[in-house]
Amino acid sequence: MNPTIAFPREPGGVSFPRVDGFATTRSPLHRHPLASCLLLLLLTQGCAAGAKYTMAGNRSPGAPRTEATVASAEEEKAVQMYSDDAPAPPEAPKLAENAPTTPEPSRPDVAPTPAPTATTARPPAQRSPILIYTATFQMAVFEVEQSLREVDRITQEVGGFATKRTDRQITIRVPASRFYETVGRLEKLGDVTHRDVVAQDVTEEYLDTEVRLRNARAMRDRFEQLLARATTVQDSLLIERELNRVAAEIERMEGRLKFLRDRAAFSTITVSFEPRRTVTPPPSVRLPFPWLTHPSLSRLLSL
Amino acid sequence: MTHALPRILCALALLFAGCRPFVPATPGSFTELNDQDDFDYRAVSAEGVVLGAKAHKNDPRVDLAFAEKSLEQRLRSSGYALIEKREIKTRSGLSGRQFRLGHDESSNPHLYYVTLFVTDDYVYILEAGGTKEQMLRYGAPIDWHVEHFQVR
Repeated sequence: MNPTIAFPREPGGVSFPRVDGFATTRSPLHRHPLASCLLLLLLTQGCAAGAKYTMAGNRSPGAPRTEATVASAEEEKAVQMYSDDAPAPPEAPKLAENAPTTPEPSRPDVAPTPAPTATTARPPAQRSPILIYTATFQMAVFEVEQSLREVDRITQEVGGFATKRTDRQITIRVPASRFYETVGRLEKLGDVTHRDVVAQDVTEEYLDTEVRLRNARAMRDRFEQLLARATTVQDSLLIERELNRVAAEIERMEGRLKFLRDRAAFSTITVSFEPRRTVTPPPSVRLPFPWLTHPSLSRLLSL
Repeated sequence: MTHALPRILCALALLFAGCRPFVPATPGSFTELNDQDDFDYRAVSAEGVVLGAKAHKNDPRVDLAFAEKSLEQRLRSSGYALIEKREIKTRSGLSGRQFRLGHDESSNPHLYYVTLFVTDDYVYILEAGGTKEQMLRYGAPIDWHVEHFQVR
């Protein structure tokens, strides 16, 4: 008749509602072994995740990156897209599996991972940088329509695609391996008044996210095992809540990795046919020659 | 004083006569327009190719190299495509530079030629502009107009 009995709170203890049909003891940890495991798991996993993240993020400059975990086959395949024996950018780098590596010395400030995990240590591998190439061109405003068509044609020839097009601007994505070739061809289209070519190194972010993703997946697996063994509704609810949180985190990290992979695989190039306003000197340093500001085609043609 | 006197007399003569300090050469297929506020001279062809000229006091004084460099930068930063740069010499022996530029007006490709002459007293800007098709057609009259330009 009374399925729930609220126990008085004890100092340092945890109070759980009682479910009918289940034995309880005075000690909360003994009463809910699964909840205890869960708490222990959260604590240890937090330490482990922090330790791995620290290893990845705080390594000294130039020191080889080490990994304490083994990637799954899918992850390994994904990583191989961005590793390469040849360092020359912007070819998609591939994992240098046989590259000589130096294991990172053990760090006393990093807590070991006591919780059972599905991961094992393996020799670290050196990786080529993961680079995202972007370029911006400003071209003189002449034969814009024809030039835009030409940009389209070049994009198709190199296996890219246009993502945005207006009357005076076009943004294209081209395979990273053909980035410089495309840039060279675009430069010949007209009078380039300004260019910006940027290679953004996202290696650290990619690898850190990858490590955190592995840890999160391992945590999810353990939560699922705990859920299967849960004997109380309260335990189940608690574990499911944590499972949902971890699942959301996994989705977010997977999305980020996918985004970085996409940006590294396809470079973004924007071509604008507009006057370069930023190059105009501010009024304080404008040259004081009336003849300099006089020439204007539109003024000449307005009769 | 001996050198300055002819210049002063010339300047006074121009002032009282209301004249421009150059003699434009209007090609046969063009007609000169009167009362042009922004220009000392302007002429137009039947197809809409326009010639223009203006003399600016060379003050602060610059030489041809300075004027060429600053004008090129100004034109390119304004969105004009520099197609070609030519050295020009008029029949009277005056040396100058010509920028051959491209620019779209209302999404229509136009050509725009800006010719620069610099003397001690004046900076002369000669302009020619029109649609690409008509400018290419009128290439010879435009060249003739520049070659026969004279300063007073």
